[in-house]
Amino acid sequence: MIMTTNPAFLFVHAMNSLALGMNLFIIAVGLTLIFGVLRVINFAHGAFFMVGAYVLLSFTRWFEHPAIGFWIGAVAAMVTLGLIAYFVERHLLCHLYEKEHLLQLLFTFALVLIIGDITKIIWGPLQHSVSYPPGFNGAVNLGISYYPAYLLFLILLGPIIALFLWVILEYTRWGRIIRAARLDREMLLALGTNVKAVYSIVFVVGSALAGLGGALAVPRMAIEPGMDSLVIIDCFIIVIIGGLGSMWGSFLGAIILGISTIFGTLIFQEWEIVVVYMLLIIVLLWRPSGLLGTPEKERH
Amino acid sequence: MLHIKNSFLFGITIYAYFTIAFPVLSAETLKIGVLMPTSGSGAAYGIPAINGIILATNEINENGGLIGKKVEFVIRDTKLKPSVASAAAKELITKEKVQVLFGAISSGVTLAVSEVAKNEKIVLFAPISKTTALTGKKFHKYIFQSSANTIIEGRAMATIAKQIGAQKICVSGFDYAYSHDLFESLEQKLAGPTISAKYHVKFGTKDFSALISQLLSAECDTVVGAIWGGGFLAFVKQANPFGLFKQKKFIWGAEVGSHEMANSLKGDYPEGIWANSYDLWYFKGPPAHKKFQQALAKLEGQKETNMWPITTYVGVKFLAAGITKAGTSESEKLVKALEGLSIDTPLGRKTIDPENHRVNTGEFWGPMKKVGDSNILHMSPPTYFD
Amino acid sequence: MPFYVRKNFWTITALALLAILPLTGSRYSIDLTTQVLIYALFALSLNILVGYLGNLSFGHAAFFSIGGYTCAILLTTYNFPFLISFLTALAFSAIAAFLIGLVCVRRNHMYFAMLTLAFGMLVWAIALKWRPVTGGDDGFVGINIPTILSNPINFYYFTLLTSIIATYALWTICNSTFGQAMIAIRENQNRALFLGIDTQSIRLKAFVISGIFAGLSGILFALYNRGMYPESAFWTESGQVLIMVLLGGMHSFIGPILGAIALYSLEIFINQFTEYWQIVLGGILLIVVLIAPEGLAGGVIWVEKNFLKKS
Repeated sequence: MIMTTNPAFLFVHAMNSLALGMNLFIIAVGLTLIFGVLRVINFAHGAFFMVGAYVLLSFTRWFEHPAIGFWIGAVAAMVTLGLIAYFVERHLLCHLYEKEHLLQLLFTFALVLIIGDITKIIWGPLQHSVSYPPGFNGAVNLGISYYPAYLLFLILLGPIIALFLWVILEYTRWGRIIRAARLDREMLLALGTNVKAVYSIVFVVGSALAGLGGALAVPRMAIEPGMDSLVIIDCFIIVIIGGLGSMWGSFLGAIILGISTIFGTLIFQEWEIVVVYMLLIIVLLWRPSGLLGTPEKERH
Repeated sequence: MLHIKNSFLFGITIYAYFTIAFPVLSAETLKIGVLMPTSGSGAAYGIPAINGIILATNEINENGGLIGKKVEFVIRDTKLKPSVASAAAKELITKEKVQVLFGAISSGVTLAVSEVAKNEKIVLFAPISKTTALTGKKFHKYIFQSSANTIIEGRAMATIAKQIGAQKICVSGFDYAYSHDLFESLEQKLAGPTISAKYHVKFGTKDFSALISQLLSAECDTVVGAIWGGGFLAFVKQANPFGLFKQKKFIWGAEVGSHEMANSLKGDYPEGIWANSYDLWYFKGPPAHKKFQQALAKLEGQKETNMWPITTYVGVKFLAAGITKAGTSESEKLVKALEGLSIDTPLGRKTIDPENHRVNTGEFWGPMKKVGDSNILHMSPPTYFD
Repeated sequence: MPFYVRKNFWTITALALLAILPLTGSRYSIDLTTQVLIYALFALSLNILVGYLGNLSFGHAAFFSIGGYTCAILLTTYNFPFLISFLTALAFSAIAAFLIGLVCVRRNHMYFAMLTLAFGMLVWAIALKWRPVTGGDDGFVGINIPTILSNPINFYYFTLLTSIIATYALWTICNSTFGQAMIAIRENQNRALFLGIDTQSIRLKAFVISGIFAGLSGILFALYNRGMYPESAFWTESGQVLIMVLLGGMHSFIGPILGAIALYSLEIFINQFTEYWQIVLGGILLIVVLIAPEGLAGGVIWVEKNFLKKS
């Protein structure tokens, strides 16, 4: 491990960890928001991520100009997923709130299957690729080392989204209602709040974030069938480490997963696969509700 | 507890309804059971591969079928899972009454199907799976393998490494049987250059940043890689901003030189790397190749055809020749007929080794270059290594 | 008809049908039923945790694969006699369930589920990485099974007999005071504690029992396929069996069996008709979820109440 003493080398790896973590954060925070309020473990979150990637692909093909195609595509991915989520929540999922809680798992599993086939029917089974948006395909000199511009963008965007969500949750009326819904659903109903609307909004926003995460992940990976199955497990790890339902928890969890993936690979090579799950168990044993999660007792 | 009894009855009635409906077995058709992934991450390989089977079967049936029967193939999705593939293989044999099994992608899945073939005494023809375990450690007489296996691929890599003047080589691949076998074969065949470092990343990963930094700071002049499909795509796109491809020479296996790959990466494809492919639509080869490409282009509705169909096309042609020679699809006689069999394929004459049931299938290798003003790279010039 | 025959009329009929199934001479039915029996047992074992104890487990495939791998390795690598391999594999699943359970049962609700997920994935990672022993990603292919079991009909009867014994054992456990204690914990853990039930100990025991039977189904799986693969330990496999339990209905003993029959055969049948099996299966599941609130077993009760009682 001679190379780890090189500061530029360390710096690049730290940045890589952050970039990976921030991309995953954008996806995972949606999952944690939805869980926090609706108490639904959404297995289809990965499928939503995949749809986001495919929507971006279509937009980069429709628009001649790569920059316009990419950025409009990223917004379109959010909007599309928001619309899909609205339909799913209003017309299907809402019928399950009164029923056995675990049936929601069955429901999201069915969604995963259906979305998997629909994407294959629309976009075909082959792999696709979208380039970095113009202006983001090179590297920037940061003094200590050159670093890819697109990754810098991700590193900056993650905290911006986190702060934005924090401000909304902390300082707006809807934010207060959402926080209250996380703690005590019945009380909100008793107070005459439109809980239905809260659920819709949270599901739509959470899913739109999955779509955005999918779109933004595209320049760094392949768009292909089955890309949903890998990302969902990463999201679960992040959400569990950070604490189910905690926004800042998923932020922290994403950074931890990023670090353990990058440095785990450097130090343990292919054994990194074991490291992540060991880490997960250690965190859960030390803090059962995740690093920043609310202990179960405080919920009602 | 009344409902328990009725539940039982309910379940059994529905179950019986499905299982007792047997297909009518026709003596007029010869059935091939095809096992390919058609959903999930394997669909990108499985679905194009089926085109080769369609093409070969159509040709055979247009020429009057085999031993007086029409050829029909029945496809089952393996979902890239060994247990699913193994159950599907049994279903194909026992319900559909297929006489031969064909296919499977991913070594674990093919090995599982091969186990079924061994126990059921049915020929399994594997056109894509590359692992040498199939016809090595886990060999049995009903398995035939027509892919370019890791020995052939490793040998080609060693030759190219010497040709481009490599001194120290870093290898990198997914941590699983294919890459381990391939690099072992490369190491054995290397004369001159040496392997200075091996980097294996976890199977199926999509983040290569750690590997990229390791390769950047590694003391080797050439990188030999075997990360395939979407993994290679992600690796390239993540490595480009770091300028990795400008710093070292690259030899990359696992069919990343295919036109599909060049077409999806377009301008992002690293120019100058050596890559391989089973087939190239732009290869100016013998008339047989031209004829095959025309037929495939018609089927796929595009001139720039996919690479996978040739593997399955040649596989079905081998089976057909074997059945014709044996005069039957009965397993024992078919095995005898296939052993040592030679046929003319679009890419020359190929033979099944009677000892280990491997076919001397090679692949095109060459540097990927810009041709004309298209941003889709071509392998130029392609050389066939077998 | 004696009372016990009348009381168990349908169960006996079902068993009789299963017993004479090989007489149809259809290898396909025999093979498919063997596979379904294995998954039904797997689902039943999970339902101890999910249905009776009220603890969601996302890592049940861990015990399934520990059982399967242990049996496979002992039989093939070490050439142990069949019975010893079989029993040792059961013991290994029990030990693994005890050790993992020791940690997991200290947690409730989602945290329990998450811990089981983490342990399940750890087992998967080990199965994948411990190549010299498990065969890594290629799987452990080519298990030496006793010649008598290599005949599909014999194997079918072996699986059937094992499943009947195991199901009877699970039925007895679920209807004993121990089963009552589990239900008490599910309904209200604190109240159960006040009633003097040692909840931790009951939960640990239930976890071990559940792990043993999952291990048993894993052993049957390995023997049937003559191979064991790391993907059998992956979380999707745990998810799959959980879906079986939920689909069948977790609040009845028989539910998971129905769920396993339904999901497994649907996957096989739909795959035979269309390449787009996912959309068809997903659609069917969606309808079941939206219409039958208690899973398939609930649906059967509903049909019974509304149509059958009248006649």
